[in-house]
Amino acid sequence: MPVAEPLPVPAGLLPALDLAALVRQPDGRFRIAGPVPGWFEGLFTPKVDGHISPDETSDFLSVFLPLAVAVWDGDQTERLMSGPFTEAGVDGAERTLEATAVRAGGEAWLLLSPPVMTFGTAQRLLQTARDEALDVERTRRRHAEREILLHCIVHDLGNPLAGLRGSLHLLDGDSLSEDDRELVEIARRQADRMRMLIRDVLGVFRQEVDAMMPAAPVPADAAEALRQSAGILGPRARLAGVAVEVTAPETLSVVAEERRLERVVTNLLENAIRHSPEGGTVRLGARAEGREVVLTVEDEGPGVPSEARGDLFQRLRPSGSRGQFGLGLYVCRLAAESWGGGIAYEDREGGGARFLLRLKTPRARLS
Amino acid sequence: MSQTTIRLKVCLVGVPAVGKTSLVRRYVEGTFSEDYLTTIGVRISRKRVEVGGEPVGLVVWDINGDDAFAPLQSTYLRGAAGFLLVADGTRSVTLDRVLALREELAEAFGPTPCVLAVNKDDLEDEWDVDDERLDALRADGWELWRTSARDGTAVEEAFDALARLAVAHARG
Repeated sequence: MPVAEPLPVPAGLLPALDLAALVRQPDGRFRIAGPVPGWFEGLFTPKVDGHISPDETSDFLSVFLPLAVAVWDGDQTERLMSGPFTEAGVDGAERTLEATAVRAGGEAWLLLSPPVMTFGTAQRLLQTARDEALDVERTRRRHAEREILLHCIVHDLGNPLAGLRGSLHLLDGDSLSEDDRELVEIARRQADRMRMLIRDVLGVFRQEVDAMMPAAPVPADAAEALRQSAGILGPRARLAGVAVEVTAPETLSVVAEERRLERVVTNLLENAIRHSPEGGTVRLGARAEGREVVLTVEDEGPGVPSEARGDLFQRLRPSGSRGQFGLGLYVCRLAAESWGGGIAYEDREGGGARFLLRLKTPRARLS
Repeated sequence: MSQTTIRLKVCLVGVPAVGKTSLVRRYVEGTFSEDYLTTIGVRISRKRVEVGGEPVGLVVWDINGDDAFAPLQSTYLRGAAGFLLVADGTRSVTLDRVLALREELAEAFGPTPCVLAVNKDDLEDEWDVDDERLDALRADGWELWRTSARDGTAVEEAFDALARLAVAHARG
């Protein structure tokens, strides 16, 4: 049976593979073999006689080439790969390349090309990433178990507290002297505060577990979150004599998880109502700013004193004059950061507080 | 008569996200970016400095962070006249790792000058490394700087110290 002759390698193959091939000459300089890709122009200083010395202009190759000599001068058929390196050429433009030294056809070859991920590298990256994901999943499960335990403890604390609050309400009658009524009122306020603290502690644990969840694949509607929160806390605002205004477009997509975003906004709104004077207005707003969406919650209260701002969003924050925030703002920060966003505070012009929640807009998904 | 410029290779090493690339950018270009883009392989920058009144061409090799995803390659480190070991002051575990790395470097390349940069000094609220520990390292003979690539604190000083030690080492 006749054996077909091997086809000659076409001249355009190397540039089509984005590869520049150089052959080492006996004097240690190199000659370019065949046509080269566009990025090769301006990489090295060209020599008049067609020879180039890459190690004269590349700090990376000045280290790599002596190592390559062992491959070129040896009998082995193995090749030496440099790994990716980023360096400016003689034209001042940075390129990221990879060098391969190989001996073929009796010649010493230096191949330069943009890096391509090998199967082994890809496998190692995927393997490590998946191991890490499993670790996160295990940690999340442990946190969830702790949350259940905490719920049990808090439930045990909450029951007697409910009894205490009920008894204090019953005591609040006309039969008490004015001094006693004041004492009962103080005890009731403290019991209410304890109830809020218990709720905040639970909220923090829940958020810390949620923060380890992968990002939600479906974006949330920030404008709808504002309207929902305003609806939920509307009755409380009316009781406090505070008006709530929402200024937002019909829809505004953000990278967030809908249920948690609503909780974050509700938390900020609840703070704003609590610190508003009677007759004041709380303003909720949402607007697009470049590739971000900014949600604002403004009140006309006293604002946050400057000495309390540094650790406003910290977990272990000492109670200040606006210490009623409890852990709520820490919870908000955790949620915002888990979506790649952030939270900030600034004074409102004309007095009051303004909280800004910055969230990313979702990228278009490939079909 | 013009002076010959000594060219010295120095390498930045440490675990990922400690601020190696940001330190190089601050030192070479005087800039800082909040965006984190992990380094793959090595990025080479150059800066001319003076050590003891003599010109030195510093070739700075910013090497990818050492972790399970991309372990350090010895080919990148070969021929270094000095190492800038970088830790993140807000993650004390990165200091443990880079100190262990120094032992590995000494074993592979022999005695080579090292300077330690404990970076992110500007993040005071999140700082996680005890002053006592840094004092103990200084007492052990470490050239150690608390740096901030963001505001530039002690960046020049750390690189200048490395250049000075590297020149002395190169001259034997």
